[in-house]
Amino acid sequence: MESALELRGLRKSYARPAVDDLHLTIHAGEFYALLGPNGAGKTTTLRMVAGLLRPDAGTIHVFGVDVLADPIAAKRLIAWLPDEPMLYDKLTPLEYLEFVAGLWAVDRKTATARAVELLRWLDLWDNRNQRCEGFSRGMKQKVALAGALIHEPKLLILDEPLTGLDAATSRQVKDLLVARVRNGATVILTTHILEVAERLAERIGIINKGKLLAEGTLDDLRNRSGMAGSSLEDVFLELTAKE
Amino acid sequence: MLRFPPASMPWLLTHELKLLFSSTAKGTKIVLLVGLCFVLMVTATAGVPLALYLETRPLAPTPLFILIADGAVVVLFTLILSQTLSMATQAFFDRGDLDLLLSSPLRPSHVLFVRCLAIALSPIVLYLVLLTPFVLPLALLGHWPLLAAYGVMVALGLTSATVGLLLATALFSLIGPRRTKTVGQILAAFVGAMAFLASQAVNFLPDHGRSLAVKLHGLVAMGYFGPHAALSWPARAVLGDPVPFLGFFTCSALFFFGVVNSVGARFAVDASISFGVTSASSPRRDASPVRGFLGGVRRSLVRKELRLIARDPALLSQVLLRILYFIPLAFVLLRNARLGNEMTVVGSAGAIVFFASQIAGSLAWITISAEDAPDLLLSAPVSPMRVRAAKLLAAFMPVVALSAWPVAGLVWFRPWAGVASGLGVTAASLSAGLINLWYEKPQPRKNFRRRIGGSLVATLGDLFVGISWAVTTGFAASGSLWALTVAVLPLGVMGALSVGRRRDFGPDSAPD
Repeated sequence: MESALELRGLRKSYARPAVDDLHLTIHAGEFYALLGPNGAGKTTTLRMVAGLLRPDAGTIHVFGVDVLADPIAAKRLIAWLPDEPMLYDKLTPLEYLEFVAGLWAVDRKTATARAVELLRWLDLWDNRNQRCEGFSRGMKQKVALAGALIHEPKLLILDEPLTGLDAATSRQVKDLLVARVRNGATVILTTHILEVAERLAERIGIINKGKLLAEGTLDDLRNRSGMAGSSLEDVFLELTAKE
Repeated sequence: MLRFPPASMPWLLTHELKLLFSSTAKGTKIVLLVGLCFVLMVTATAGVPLALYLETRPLAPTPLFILIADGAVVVLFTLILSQTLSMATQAFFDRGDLDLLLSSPLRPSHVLFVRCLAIALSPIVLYLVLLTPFVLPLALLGHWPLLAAYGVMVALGLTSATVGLLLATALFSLIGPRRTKTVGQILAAFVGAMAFLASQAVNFLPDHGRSLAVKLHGLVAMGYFGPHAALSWPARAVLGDPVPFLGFFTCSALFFFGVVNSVGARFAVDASISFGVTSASSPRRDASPVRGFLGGVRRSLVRKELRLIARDPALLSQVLLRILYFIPLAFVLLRNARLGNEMTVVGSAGAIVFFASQIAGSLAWITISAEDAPDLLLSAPVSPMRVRAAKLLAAFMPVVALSAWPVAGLVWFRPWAGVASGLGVTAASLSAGLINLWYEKPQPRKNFRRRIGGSLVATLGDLFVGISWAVTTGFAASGSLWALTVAVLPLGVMGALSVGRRRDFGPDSAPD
């Protein structure tokens, strides 16, 4: 099976180690949830994958491309969506999508068609010519999501994408992510809403103090923690409490 | 340390002043230190010698002094009004802690009064600092009534803040919140440039303002600027004459209190309306067709930067002021080139280069450092240097558009001076762009309304290199070989600045 992401011996320290000898493999076409308590090293790990941080040691490969040796080639395959939408308040959704499509050098006609499709899908069509400054948080997050999808990334990395969203918007985002995985994309998501991970993710990784504690399907994790039939929340608390 | 009872007006004013002057920028302490050094230097080299010279001489309101004082009051009033209007307009939209304060048990009228007082006081601090090297030594050497100059300055601040508040509220009623934001900032820039534009307008009068000077002389002869004339009040107030001083100060204070009391409530309502306008979306059917995207990495980056500059009135007004200085100078340059006024052509060519460098510096500073989505650019498959090159290109495009016509006109009338000006504008703009690139300080755009958060090295470097290139251009335009010698100065400074430049623009350049 082709691997979408391979981390080997990844390390990053600030005052203390944030990511400590992390080994992780995520398969192509997989919906993977990376869970962990606050300060576990999730965001640092994903920022290193997205090329926003340089690791102290270790290797990162995205679909076989070495992120550290050829970051531009790797970034062509990746979309990064943090919890705070990376937007320009003075641009309209349409202008924002045009800008992001330009950055990823998407063909003009393809980009226009995809923008129309994404804006309709995310219920932003009527707001396409309004500046983002007046948008609610949910609308801003949807514009940012459209931006992340306009270049059809093979690997979609989402850091707490559902924070602050209402139920309807949250459902829209989840449906969109599931649809992307069905179409062959790989999704890595961090979230504190464990039900989301439980319902959507095929495999779950639990990280704490920069190390991978456990990984596998929900059943694998239950077996590992000796809590058969328990919810992910119980399993998560049990595994992280042991640390 | 003096402590006021919590929730009292002085306590609230202390809070406002703390917010104004204890800026978060690390460079603020350096700015204060540089400011103190400047004040001490001017006091020692100009203030104290002047005070010693005037120690035994009476300070009387002569017609010339009255004329100068009146002119200074008008110029200062326009400069302060420009800032207070801009701040009053911005206060509608930058709510900051206004929601917190208005939701507290403090009386809303007190909150708004103190905020208006802060709008009045903050722009005059600079002028109070500039007055000190001259006023303080004179006051210490016997001319203590001159301390009234500080009071006059406060009165000017109160008056201009009141006018700014009235203008902002009127704009809000007349054209609505959205347009007020843009029109208020542009109006503020025009008011700020008014004195300069008026001085340049004299150059376009058929007789270069000679008849105006004669008229002014006639008014002086007729006693309009005599020691007891109404126009002498500002000068006498500055000199500490009690009646004009108290009249001036009391009128300003009453005007301020009266307007704040009557308009304050309206101001609060307008602010809440403006908040609703910017935060709530108003979805409406939009049947306009989607035009095809234009594509291209560089084109996308340049277009985005130009759009963002054009749509941010607060940022635009900072550049607009320099453009307002540039345009009349360009006309003066072309007129004198046509008439063959050698010295004026040389001076104007230098001034054009200086303002072009200032515009390029401001735009480069905005395009390079004001970035709301740095992670988006860093996560895109584009090298950081390519991103910055596109940002610089976006900064240079308006400068080229502005400078092209005066330079082309100069080439037509005085080919060599035109070539020199073109080279000067290019060198100065490139230098300003490079300095801002080397000393980039990325921050969200909302922090850029005042240049406090910018790099001090970049600001001073920009200014010095711009002046040096202007002088070099002046020599070159006159055909002097001294230009080659003087050019060493900006090149040397650029070389020195390049040593301390930022080298890493990749990952880890921004904190996690």
